[in-house]
Amino acid sequence: MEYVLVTRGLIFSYENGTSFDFPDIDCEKGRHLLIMGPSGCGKTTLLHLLAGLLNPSSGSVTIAGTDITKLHESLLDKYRGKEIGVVFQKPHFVQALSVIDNIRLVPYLNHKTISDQTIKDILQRLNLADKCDERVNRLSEGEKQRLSIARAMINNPVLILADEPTSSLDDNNCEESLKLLKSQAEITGASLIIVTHDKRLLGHFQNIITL
Amino acid sequence: MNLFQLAFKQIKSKPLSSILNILLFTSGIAIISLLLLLRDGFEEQMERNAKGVDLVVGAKGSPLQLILSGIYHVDYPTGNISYKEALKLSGNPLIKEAIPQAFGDNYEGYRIVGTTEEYVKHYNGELSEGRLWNKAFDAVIGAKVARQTGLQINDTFAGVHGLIEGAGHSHDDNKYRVTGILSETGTVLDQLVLTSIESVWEIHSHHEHDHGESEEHDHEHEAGHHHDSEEHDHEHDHEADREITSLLISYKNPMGAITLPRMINQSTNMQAASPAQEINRLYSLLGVGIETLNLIALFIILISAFSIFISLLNSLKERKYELALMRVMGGSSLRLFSMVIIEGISYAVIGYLGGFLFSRTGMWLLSIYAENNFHYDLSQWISLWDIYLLSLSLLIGILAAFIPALKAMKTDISKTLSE
Repeated sequence: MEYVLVTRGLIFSYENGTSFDFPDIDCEKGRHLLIMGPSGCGKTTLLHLLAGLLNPSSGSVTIAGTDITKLHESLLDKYRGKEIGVVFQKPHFVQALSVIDNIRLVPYLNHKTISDQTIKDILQRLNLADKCDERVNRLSEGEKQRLSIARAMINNPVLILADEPTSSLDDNNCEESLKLLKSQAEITGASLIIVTHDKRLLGHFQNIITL
Repeated sequence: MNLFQLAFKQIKSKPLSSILNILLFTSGIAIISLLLLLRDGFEEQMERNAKGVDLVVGAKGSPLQLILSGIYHVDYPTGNISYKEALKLSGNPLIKEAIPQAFGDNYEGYRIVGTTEEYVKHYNGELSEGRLWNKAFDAVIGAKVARQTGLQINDTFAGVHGLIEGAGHSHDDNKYRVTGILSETGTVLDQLVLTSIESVWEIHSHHEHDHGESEEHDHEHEAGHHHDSEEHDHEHDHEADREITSLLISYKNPMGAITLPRMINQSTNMQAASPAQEINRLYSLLGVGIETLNLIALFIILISAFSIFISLLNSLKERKYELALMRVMGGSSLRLFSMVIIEGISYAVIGYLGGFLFSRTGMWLLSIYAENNFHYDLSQWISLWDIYLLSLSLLIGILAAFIPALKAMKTDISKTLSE
């Protein structure tokens, strides 16, 4: 079986002495994973470790066969851009750019070329086709969420990390958003890992890790 | 998408502070660039026309005035000198060439100068049409005079007394006939009407016969027309009493520079002035003003650099989260560094282009003014300075953006995202 994410003995200590000891994670390619935990248990820290935004005090994070904790910073930037898409709790964008330019920015930052047609297809799929040239701050919350999903997908990453994607949404939107994340991940064959304290998601996942 | 588009979109998204940055930069560059262009155009005209003239000899008075009137034909002459004495001086073995000039009239503001063929040769003038003068009242006109007045070969015109257009009365009895038109030389020759010295003498002796002593006082007002009032009219034909306005001298060897000026200034009642010295004096007089303006412009550029620095710093503070996001999306720290540097450079380059345009517009307006008032074409559209200024602008853009760029590069992604 091919694993898209494997962690072993992950420990992270902040300078103020707070230390987190995370359970080992094994996630098969194309399978989804829910990481549950109450506030303050280190969920965001774990997500940052998985995305290579933080370096663990000890332990390893292996994504698609590469131990990213051993990568040099510039290689890590490249690897992250290529293999990992991140959806944040509060979607942020580059304010100076239009909706479509915010998506175009991603392949550009990764030295890749993705045709405008592909980008428009994704926006179409996420029901944003008519907002292409809109300024991002004029989008509704739901549209912003969808745009941040589109942004996480555009590079066809193997792993999509989502940080509390549903906690600020009502039940209907929560369901909707989750469906969207799952379906989009399935289209590109990526594994979706959601880190949340939102118990509404519990019934939707087979693989669940509790912190 | 590339870094330049990205930078441009960032600049566009903050129109007010961007306009302030660019406006400041533009004003600084425009002032410096205009001053440099003017200086270059001015110095070039100055040097081109004074070339080969080592000394100007004329009546006593201000040496600068003598140079300005004798070589550049902008100021009034200091007075007249005796032709006999001038001839005697011309025979000096240290002198290679001495070109006499007599003037005091104009045609539509263009000076009528009585001189010899050497004057034309001195400025490498060539006839584009017709021939040089060979009898009294033959006139050869410069290229600009021909262009502006529309005079053609065989046209006749009357000189007007004085050196300003329309100020004096017209010498209608003795009309000049155009016998030749010079081709463009880029020197003072282009804006002169040349004739023989005899024509100038003739006009004014007739003039005196016609009007008699009663108008003698009029002539004394005109600097160029110091007919000695003690003399009697009938003596005007005598060579000995003839006068010219000035003498352009070039030395045979450097010894001339040492002895001639002192000899002329001390032992004759004429004055000798060195163009090189007087022009340097003029530069040092103007220099203070130019330096001050330059300093003000540099100060403005510095302020604009500071304003670019502050606004980049502020906007990056606001965009901190965006920068962290770009890192998450795979942007390297070097990319972010270059992005901010290019934003700084973009301000500087847009400001520079604005300054370039404004300085050329200013140059255009000023050269129209100079053309109308002094008949000089100061226009100079490009110079090596443009490249220096562009490099300076790029440097300032980079320097102003350097610290903000470092900050952008060092953004702590995880901390920023969890805030």
